[in-house]
Amino acid sequence: MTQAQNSDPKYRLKLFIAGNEPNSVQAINNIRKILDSRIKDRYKLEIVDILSDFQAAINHGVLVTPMLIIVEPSPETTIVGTLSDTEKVKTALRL
Amino acid sequence: MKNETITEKGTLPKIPTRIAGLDDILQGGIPEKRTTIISGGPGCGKSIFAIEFLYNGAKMGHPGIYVTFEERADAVRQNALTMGWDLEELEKQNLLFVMQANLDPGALISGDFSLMGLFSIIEGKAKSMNCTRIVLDAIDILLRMYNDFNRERSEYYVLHDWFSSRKITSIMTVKSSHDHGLATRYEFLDFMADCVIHLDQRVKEQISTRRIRITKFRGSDFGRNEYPYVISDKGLSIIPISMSGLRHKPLGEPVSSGNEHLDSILGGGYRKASCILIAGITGAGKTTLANTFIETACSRDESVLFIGFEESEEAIVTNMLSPGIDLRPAIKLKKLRFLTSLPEAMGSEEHLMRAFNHISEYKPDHLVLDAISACERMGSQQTAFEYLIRLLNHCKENDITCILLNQTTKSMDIHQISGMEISSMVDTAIFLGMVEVGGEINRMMLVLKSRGLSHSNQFREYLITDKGIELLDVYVGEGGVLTGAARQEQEAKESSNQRMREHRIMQKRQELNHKEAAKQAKLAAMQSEIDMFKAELDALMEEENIWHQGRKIRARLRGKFKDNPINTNILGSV
Repeated sequence: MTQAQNSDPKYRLKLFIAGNEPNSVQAINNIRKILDSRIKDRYKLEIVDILSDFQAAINHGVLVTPMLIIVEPSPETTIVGTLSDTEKVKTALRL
Repeated sequence: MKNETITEKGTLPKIPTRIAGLDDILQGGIPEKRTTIISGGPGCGKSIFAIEFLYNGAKMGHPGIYVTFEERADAVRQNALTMGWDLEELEKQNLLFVMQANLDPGALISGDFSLMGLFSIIEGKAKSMNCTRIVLDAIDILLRMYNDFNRERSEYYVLHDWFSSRKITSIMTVKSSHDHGLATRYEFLDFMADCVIHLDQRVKEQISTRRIRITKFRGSDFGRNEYPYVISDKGLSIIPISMSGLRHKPLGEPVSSGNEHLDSILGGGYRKASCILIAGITGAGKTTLANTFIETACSRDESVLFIGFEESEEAIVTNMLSPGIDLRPAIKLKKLRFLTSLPEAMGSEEHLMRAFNHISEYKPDHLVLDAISACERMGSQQTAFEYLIRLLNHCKENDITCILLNQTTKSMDIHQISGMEISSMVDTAIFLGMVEVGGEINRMMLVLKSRGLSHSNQFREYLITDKGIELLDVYVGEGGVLTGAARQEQEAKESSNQRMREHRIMQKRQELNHKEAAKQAKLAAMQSEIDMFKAELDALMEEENIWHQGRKIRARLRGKFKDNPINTNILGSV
């Protein structure tokens, strides 16, 4: 499930989740809330379910879920957890 | 894929690790479909242990997954290659998967998370490979991510459950070091695991030794001692001394010692696959005697492994040239191999493993060890004893003749020769001694024991000449066995004694003749004396007769004739 809000996004993110695991559901909700409130239409968020694609987990070294990788703006940053700490996430996104 | 599981009635199914010696202690292997914990300090070989298990399994057709939380995957592959394990080759065959699971140290943590990523990777990979063997190296690194003791504990439960429910045989390594207080922090792992193996490395008397101990094995018996182990260039090896039974074979045929004379003393030579001890002080010719055997054995197309703790290969080869023993052709033909090192260079386990590796690869017919007295320098007398017993056992099991040299400190102390309490293992004992007689040192040889052969128990004198060792015939004179110049002196003395005795007999004989002659002379003198006396007596008798006759005449002349001369009394009464 891929969502593209803009054809020329300045913010590119990947969120690795594990099916319907509560932590993962929380993380999806949390990140959307943050992104939509600050940079609506200027980001591209890719959500990867590692339960159906373990190779992606291998490729990105995803040992724990949920795990967010901020690809752009560089440098790449990783945040693990439910992303409940909004301030921490915002800082990582430099918002 | 053949079923490797060892199942006995009422016992736990086990999977052999195929790590040398370990399956003996584990009485079959690690528990199947269960979790085994390997704990130990840094550098004691936990990772090697785990990789070796997977590698050996993969070689037999059992796929395995190795998850490393600490090292990079290519570093793991490279390290394995130094042990001669080509992991990449097995990965290509889909029998092995090395997964680098490094956690990004810069990763931020925001909220709760689970190990679903890891599980998903393992499950997906395991399914695609049909794999049931998994190693997590090291679990403490993974758990530390939570930085919360209770959480670590509960996540480990999840992990353990997850593996058990999927019937996966897993090995998890964990660092334990009393210095870092980790031992208590991860103690809960030991409680939950089904089998716990503890590796330990300690330094004693400047020499590092490694020990392995099984601390727990649910539902199974196991060797409870601490066993020495080594990490050689072929992986981990454990040599459980108490487990190595005496599976010895009977002694073989006699083989020549390289010296005909010695062969005859020994009753035919050394016995194949026996243990020969040559003891003596330095310079007595132990090495020469051993090399005499080596040269002959090599010329018979037999191979010899020389384990030297005293001299280098070059030194031995050069030194042997002076007694006329040329080892160079044998080395060239690969009939002789030297394995020289200083006893202090490594622990006894490593020495042993090196020897074992050379034995299994080179397959020698005979082995020479120079000298067992040096083995004590590997650590202690106990270490030396263990080293020798295990080496001898190994040789006996493999039909290898063992020639042990032992340096004694006293020249003629035959009680000292047994060396390291291994005398019961020795089949033939040769003692080389030196005796001082008449201001010079002479070499003496005594065969103390020659199991299974009748041997001469006399002391022999021997010389080290430019043609090797030369034994002289036994000289038994008045003062026992004699040697060297004293022997020659004694021989000379004996012959002069003989002459003296002959001379004395002649002298006596002459004396007797003289006495005889004197007796004759004396006899003659006596006779003449007797004759003289006789003549005098005759003269006196004549005189007497003449006197009597004169008296008769006078009586007749006086007219009185008396018949009875007693009548002289009557005559008086007249």
